[in-house]
Amino acid sequence: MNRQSQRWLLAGLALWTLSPMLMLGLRALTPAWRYPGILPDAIDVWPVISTSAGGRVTSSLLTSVVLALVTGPMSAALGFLIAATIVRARKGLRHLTLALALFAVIAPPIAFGVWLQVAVLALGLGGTLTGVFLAHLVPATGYLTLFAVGVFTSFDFSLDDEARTLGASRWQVWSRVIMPIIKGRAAEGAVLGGLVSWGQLAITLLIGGGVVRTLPVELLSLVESGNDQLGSLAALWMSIPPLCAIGLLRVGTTRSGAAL
Amino acid sequence: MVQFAMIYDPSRTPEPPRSVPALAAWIRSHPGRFTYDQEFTGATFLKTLMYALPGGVESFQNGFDEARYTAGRDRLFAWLSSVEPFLWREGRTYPPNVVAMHRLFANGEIDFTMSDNQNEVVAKVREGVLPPGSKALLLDEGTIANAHYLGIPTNAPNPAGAMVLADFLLSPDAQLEKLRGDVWGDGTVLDTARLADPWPSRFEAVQHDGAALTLAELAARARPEVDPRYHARLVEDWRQMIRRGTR
Amino acid sequence: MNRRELPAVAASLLLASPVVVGALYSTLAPLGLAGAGANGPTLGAIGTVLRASDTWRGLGWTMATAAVATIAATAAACYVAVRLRTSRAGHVLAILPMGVPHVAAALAALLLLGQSGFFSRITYMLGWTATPGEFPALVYDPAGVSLVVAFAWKEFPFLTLTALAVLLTTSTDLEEAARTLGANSHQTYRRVTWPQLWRGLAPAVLAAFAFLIGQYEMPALLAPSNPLALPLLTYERSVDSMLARRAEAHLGLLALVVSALIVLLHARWRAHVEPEPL
Repeated sequence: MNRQSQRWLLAGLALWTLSPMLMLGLRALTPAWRYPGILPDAIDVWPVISTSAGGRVTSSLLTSVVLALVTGPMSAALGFLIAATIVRARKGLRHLTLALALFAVIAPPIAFGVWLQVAVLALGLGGTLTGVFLAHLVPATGYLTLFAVGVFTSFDFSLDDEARTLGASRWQVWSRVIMPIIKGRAAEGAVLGGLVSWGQLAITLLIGGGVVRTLPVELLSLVESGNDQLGSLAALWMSIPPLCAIGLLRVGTTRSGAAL
Repeated sequence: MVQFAMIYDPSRTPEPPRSVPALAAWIRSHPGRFTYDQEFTGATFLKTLMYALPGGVESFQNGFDEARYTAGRDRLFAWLSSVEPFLWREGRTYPPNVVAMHRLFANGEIDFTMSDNQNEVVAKVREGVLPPGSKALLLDEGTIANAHYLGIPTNAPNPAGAMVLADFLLSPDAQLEKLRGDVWGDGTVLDTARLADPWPSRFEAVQHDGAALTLAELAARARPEVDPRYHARLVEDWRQMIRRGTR
Repeated sequence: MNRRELPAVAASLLLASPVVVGALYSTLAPLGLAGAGANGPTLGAIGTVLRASDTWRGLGWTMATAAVATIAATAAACYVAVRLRTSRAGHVLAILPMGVPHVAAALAALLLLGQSGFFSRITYMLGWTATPGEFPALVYDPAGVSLVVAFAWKEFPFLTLTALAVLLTTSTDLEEAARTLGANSHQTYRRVTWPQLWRGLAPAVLAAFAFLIGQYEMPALLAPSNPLALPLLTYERSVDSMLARRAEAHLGLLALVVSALIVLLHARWRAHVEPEPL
């Protein structure tokens, strides 16, 4: 693709990606922004400051960060492990595992959440951070399994086999042959897993019972109260840390010369 | 203790309709500027109309009666059909909830919104969600007043504790706090005249917000709730016959 | 199954078990075999739900909007992943919305595409519309335009990320070989790149589609009241003031069944199409 059309595509992509986020950013600046004003009626960020400074948004932010930091690497490790093992396994096993992973991702929480809630309450994990973490791990690992299968499906296993023929142990094959190639993808997977946890809402509400307050829970509460300014603010808070994570990841992979 | 009220903006609607027939006329002369929502507030609006149309809530009191319900419902749906082509989006879709209505109203897509709480307009104007100057409006035929209730399940593990909490919520302290506009704006169930000093004057002080409706106005137009089966049947029939459009 | 495969299988079974058991419960409950108020086997609740045309209209509408959004997002993701394979800026831009929650995406769509939204204000400024009513109805509309756009916007980063991951792990040997043999870029894409891409991307696409069917927050902000989307119908039933009708909320089960069907279909398709691994 020539430079010129690539620039146009990038510009279009930027417009598509950024306009909703800019919209939320502008909306967070003012309590009132009435039709037909193109610019906000009057900039008043006091509600924004008082809510940010307030305990609720800050503590829910912290809770979400902790959950994401733990869920990301854990789900990535599990997902890649499962994918690496089953991608060359018998057809039946492969399809069963993929089906389970898919099911874990797409099943609407309302459908299985009620039972899960009953079980979690019985186990005494209801309303605890641990319970919510375990619940987050389910869709996160599902996503990661699918992601990792995508990676390994196109993976050239002949390298793997060559190394084995030359006498490398399974661990050496993993650490010297496979890992260096997929290192960038594994890191991306960890970020993906963290993001899946970061965005969870229904599961957190069902298992956390409103006691474990993550940022999405606060966001929903603000949007439902009809205050678009505070809702936009919470939305932005929700979006920023993942952006940083993605940015750091990009920098990291470029520095190490991986993939890109 | 709260009462249903409509909300309008005097700068846009200097002469709002104050009775049900006037409302119908207003809707016809202002096509696309009125609607009601799918949830509880919309249902309260419909019930208010249903009581108003045959001339009063008395006809619906003393338990549920199928014949009275059907007659009331048919009158109501006839009224709705007659104004339907002049509703927002020609009545083909309704806002999901009262929050969406507030947004439409604030941005000038419609000229009325509603609330189950007559003081909500004061709180929302202060927040900036509703345009400054927005006021509450009661219909001459009366609107539904309601109270909040607490219940303790028979298998509650700590009923004594629950009763202590209920006692606290009924205390003048908690009731006053709840009444404050920046907290909830929810009316008190206590008869403030019978409280010991200095409570009566404290309640007085909070009640007076310029834009709020006076207690006298509210009392004159308060109508009670009736048998819950009217509500349940009306909601279900509305969903099938009006929202879904099968009539 | 040999010892090597055991840990992976155990892990995936363990992780999927809450969902599987939950699904089982959601199947038993409407049959009256589990849950509060269960009175023994009955087909009453299910019968009511299946007979109601609302159920099928809701399911149909939800599936249609999810399908359109997923197809559009997949096409865009493939295009971007291939064209901007080596562009760091492209990667960042494409993946940026991953962190934005669904509720926020829906709110942004409402603020941008509503009849009193940002675009409507632009047309007002340009003199094309004079009132909100003159701007096309993209929110709360029977076609679900804003909902489809919001769905697609939210799915696009995940699909692009997966597509990029597939492309970056695939060696470019085959593509280069095709080029040396005289294929132009379009032919190379169709015959070489796309099949490789689809193999790795298919599960993600199906996951994206099925996920949208169970999504509640976005239709809650953007969808019309008629036809009523399945998640909204489910929610309405689950909070119904008549307790008996709450059992009908188990029709949320339908979304689950659809998901399960998709999973099965995909498994069969893969079995049919995929060669055995090396």
